[in-house]
Amino acid sequence: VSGPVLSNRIRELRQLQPGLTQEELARRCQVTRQTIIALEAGRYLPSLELAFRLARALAAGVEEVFQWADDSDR
Amino acid sequence: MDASATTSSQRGTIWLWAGAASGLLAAYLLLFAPNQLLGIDTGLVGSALLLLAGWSAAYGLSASRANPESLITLGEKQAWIALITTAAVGAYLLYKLAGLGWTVDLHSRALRKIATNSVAMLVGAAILARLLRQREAGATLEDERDRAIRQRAASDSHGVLLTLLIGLVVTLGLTPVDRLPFSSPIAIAHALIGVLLLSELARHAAEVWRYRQERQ
Repeated sequence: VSGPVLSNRIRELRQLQPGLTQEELARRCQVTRQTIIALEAGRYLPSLELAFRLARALAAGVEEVFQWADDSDR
Repeated sequence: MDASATTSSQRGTIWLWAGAASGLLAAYLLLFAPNQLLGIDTGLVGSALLLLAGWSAAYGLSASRANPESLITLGEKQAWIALITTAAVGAYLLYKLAGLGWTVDLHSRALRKIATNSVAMLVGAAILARLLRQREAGATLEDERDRAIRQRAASDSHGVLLTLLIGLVVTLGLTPVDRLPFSSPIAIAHALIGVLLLSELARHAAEVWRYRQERQ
């Protein structure tokens, strides 16, 4: 499979919440800020646990945060 | 880039140059200077300067990167420190042991001196890694991404270790003793240390490479 299998809306959902910086999201999810940067840029696929932590921090469901990058991958 | 970022970037560059100068002086003291200079142990001073070079480089890199996309994690800094230290110790051992002859007596003063300086460099690197960790205390220092990178790098290193060990075993087993350049126990011990150093070097290089890949 070339390219990322999953895409995400982390940046978009984060920016919907005023004051939720990358640093703050990283703190809430107990990861480094660089991991949030890598996630938002689509360069890193998180574990299931981190995916759920992100969804909770962004006040969204996991399926709202992560989607298949291409429907043909389903 | 605003004025404060420019100042920070300039400060970072100065620290990087200071680190490079300390590194060069350390290399001279460790590799080329006599063991004692004006009654001072050049090996230990060289190791201390190497520690200073590492600190300056790490500080300079942090200060010169105004763009958050290029921020590096503690894990990547530690991988760089480990890579540079392993390369420095490896180069130092190679240079000094080649100068002394590979079959140098295990109890000789020269070999003890080489071992002391190597240990001093490793202790210096451990202190530097500890200082960096304390400097960044408060934030999450490592997470699953760091652990995944370390795990994949360890797997790469295991492959290198196995390949080199098999190569050494085959060489020792198939080459007639009179044609073997390293048949004495001490020479074989040196070869095994070389294998360990190379596999460690491969591990840290793989860590640094994977961190950089994920930042691009």
